[in-house]
Amino acid sequence: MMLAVLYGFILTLFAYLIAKPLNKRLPQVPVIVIGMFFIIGLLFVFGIPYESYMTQVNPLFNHLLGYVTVALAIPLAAMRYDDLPLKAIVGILVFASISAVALPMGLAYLLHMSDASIMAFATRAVTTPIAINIATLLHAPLTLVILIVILSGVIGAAFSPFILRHINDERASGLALGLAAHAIGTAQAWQRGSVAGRYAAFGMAINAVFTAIWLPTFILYLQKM
Amino acid sequence: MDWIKTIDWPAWIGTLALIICFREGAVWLMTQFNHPELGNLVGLISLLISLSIWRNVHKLPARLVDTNNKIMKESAFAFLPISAGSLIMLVHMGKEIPVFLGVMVISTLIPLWVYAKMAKRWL
Repeated sequence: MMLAVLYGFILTLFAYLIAKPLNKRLPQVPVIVIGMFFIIGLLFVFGIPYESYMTQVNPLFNHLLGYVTVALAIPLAAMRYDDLPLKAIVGILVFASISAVALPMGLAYLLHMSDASIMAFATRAVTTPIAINIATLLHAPLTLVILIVILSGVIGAAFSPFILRHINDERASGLALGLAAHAIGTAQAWQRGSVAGRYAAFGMAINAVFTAIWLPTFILYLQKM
Repeated sequence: MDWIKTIDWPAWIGTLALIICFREGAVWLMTQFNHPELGNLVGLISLLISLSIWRNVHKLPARLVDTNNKIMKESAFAFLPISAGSLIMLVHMGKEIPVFLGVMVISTLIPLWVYAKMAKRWL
């Protein structure tokens, strides 16, 4: 069992290490997007079903995801808040948190998706560990919630070089990536540089905590009415 | 092999120990309250509060922040297995893929652009 975990880890590490130099040559494509294609390719080459690979590496990577979440506290604590316009930041955060829930849920509703799918879209912009907590409270289907969260992060990170090409402000680009594409967007923002990374971490963490408070309260209140 | 000598080992060991202790401590604590799923969030908030108190008393060590920047730069690695799974699950969605992807793309990229514009103007 330990050996299988080690093989799974080495396969993931190998995919990441070959994705990194490719990302240097193709900086428009995030390293995570290149890496996930390499993982699927390697699993195919070695004839390993994704389910058994995931069963092996999941406990270990759950720890790593936890460490990445907790590590976000360091850039947040080190950030200078005294030169940030508080009113503007609060305005952006409230607008982002509400629109990030309303837009995907509204679109899913207009396209006649099932109630469970509409609910799963509610946590689109929240980082995975916190989205799982909110989804559990809202009785939303967890696998779909995770797919939506991960995919939106991948889409946001993958298209960010194109969408943000005229922004020319690393603070704004970072904050937008953290707010719209949570942890994967934040990982992509760190690839841009430490200023974008810190602002992305700030946007992601504050958005996650704020959404975790207001969204379940609001939905559970609506359901009781 | 000179690059090994240039690594700031005490900073790496200290930073990793700080992160691991807070995360595992928070998961252990929340498991006692039957909510282990809240461990990561509690770990994040408790480390943030502790570092904020530290910052008020004494400046945060630059080596801690620098080492953490290096760790965050490689954080995409932690998301690789689950991201690959999302790609496979998407392929299995069949004829629902275009509608699903449409909602995903619109509801991610329009906000990304709008938030960046707002932040550029207001920050």
